[in-house]
Amino acid sequence: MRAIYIKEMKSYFHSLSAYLFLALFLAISGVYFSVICMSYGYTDYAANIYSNITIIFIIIVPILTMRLMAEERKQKTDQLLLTSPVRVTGIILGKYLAVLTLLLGAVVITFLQAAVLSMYGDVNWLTVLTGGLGYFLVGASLLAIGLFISSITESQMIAAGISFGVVLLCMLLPNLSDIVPGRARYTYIVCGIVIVLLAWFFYEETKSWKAGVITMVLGAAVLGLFAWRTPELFDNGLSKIIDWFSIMDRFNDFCSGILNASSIIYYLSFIAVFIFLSIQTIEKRRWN
Amino acid sequence: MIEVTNLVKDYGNHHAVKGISFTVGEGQIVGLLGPNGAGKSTTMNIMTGYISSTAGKVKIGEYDMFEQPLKAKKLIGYLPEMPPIYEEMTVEEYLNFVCSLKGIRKKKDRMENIAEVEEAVRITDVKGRLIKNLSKGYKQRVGLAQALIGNPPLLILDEPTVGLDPNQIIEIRALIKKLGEKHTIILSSHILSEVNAICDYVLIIDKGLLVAEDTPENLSEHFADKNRILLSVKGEKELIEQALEESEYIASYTVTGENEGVLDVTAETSVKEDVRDALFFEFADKKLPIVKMETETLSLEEVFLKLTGKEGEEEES
Repeated sequence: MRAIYIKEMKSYFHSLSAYLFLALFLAISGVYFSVICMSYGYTDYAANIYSNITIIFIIIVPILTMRLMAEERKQKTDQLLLTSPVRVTGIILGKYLAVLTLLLGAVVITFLQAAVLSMYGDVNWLTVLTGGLGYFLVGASLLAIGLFISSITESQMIAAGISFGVVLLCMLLPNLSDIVPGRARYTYIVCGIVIVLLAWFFYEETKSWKAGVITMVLGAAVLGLFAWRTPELFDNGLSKIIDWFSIMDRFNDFCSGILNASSIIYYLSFIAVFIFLSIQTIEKRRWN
Repeated sequence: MIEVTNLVKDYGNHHAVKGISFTVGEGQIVGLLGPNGAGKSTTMNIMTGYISSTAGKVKIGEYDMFEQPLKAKKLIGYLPEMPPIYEEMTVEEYLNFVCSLKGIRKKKDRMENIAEVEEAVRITDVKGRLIKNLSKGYKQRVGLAQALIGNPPLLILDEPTVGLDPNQIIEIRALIKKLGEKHTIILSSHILSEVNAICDYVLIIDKGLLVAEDTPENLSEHFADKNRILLSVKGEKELIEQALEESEYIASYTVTGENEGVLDVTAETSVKEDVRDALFFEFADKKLPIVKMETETLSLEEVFLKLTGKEGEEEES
């Protein structure tokens, strides 16, 4: 893991991507900082800056994650990694920690800005720290998604494109949850579609129609059980589901200085799931 | 050193490897021979743990590749078909990275190991250069250097001389031969002379199956059950053919060419001994002068063609 970590850090700084990332981050956060804090004189750094600069993730997540696994596969260097006495988990974690280190650098930059601000006015450091933590967790979650996307394709461009789309979608989800129809039957329809897709996925993976049928029957049974026992669950179900997936929603608490254990656990499990999926993707390819 | 048992690899409906078993003893240099797409690389990729097998076992030393992969992988140095190099690193950086991947932590050990390997594959003079600026031959050598790092007892080399110029090929072959004194080596190739020159033992793979295994000499001998004689005889065609049919030493023959009253014939002899003297006198008695005559035993190349079915196809067409 250490070997991979050091190699990734070196390669970020040997290529343009680390500098591009830091430059972009400095430029965009600097614009917000100078306009909102310096010109308008707002001293609440967390509420005004952190919530605005999440927009940067749309660009930097693809830049930082696109090459992580895709490039290795394309250049066939994964043959070196996977035939070395190293675990796949170590490879993925090493890469992920490297990209997290860069993100940490970005958070440090925001602290510097807050420090500058504190020379001219009262800065609530507690909210800056919790906001910084929240910003880091949101970034870490999105980077984990990016890493996973990079591990499913061997083209950097495709990885970047999909990451861009997914991060954008994550940004828009909170707005989406207000628009979706609230009636229970729409929830049933969507759940039905998901079950069919799952069944099709299992059929494709195992090439046996039995697996598909079993998935379908099981899914329908679970859905039926919930519909029978707790029908109220399905009212406004769609926006509930969307909220559950929405990374940005929980972030606002952090910016107002609220440290919510459940939110932290939410982010950590989100990260864990995508790290796990990345590892499984690599493992699965070997077993294909 | 290596024990491969009943290895099978399916890609959906395509069967890349259909049950290969072999063992390789310590200190052997084994050649894996086969036409393109025969399953050589797949077999090697499974042996090194890059991909898994659908069925079957691979045992490296005392360790099973699927049950104790980390320990098994420690014993292997692998050079895949495309050298797994990072173009944006220098040779030195790259080898350093490989050292840390293979768990060589101490700086002193690393320096020694890298210097030793660089010396062995002769890349010391390019160690400070970016790999992407190196020629194909040097990249191949860097790939080989990577496999040698950590001094693993087993080297698996997938087509190690591809893309090299003739001088480099000879150099690398000599290097492999030298490495063979201390390491067990498996190398794949579709160049037969290479296998003939380097290997103690040959495995011939075709369409995912092991079709033959033996030493190169035994293979040639075994499959060359009838000696072949190439004859050029001066005289009338009918008379020569009649003489050939009457001869007790010739089992069958084919006419391969005819020009200016000389007939070229490839004949298979019916006995194993050298019959050239006898044939000479026989034809001399009939006043049919033999202007050229040579024996030919099957080369590894022909054994290979015979086994992989190319010869059969040619004859049919």
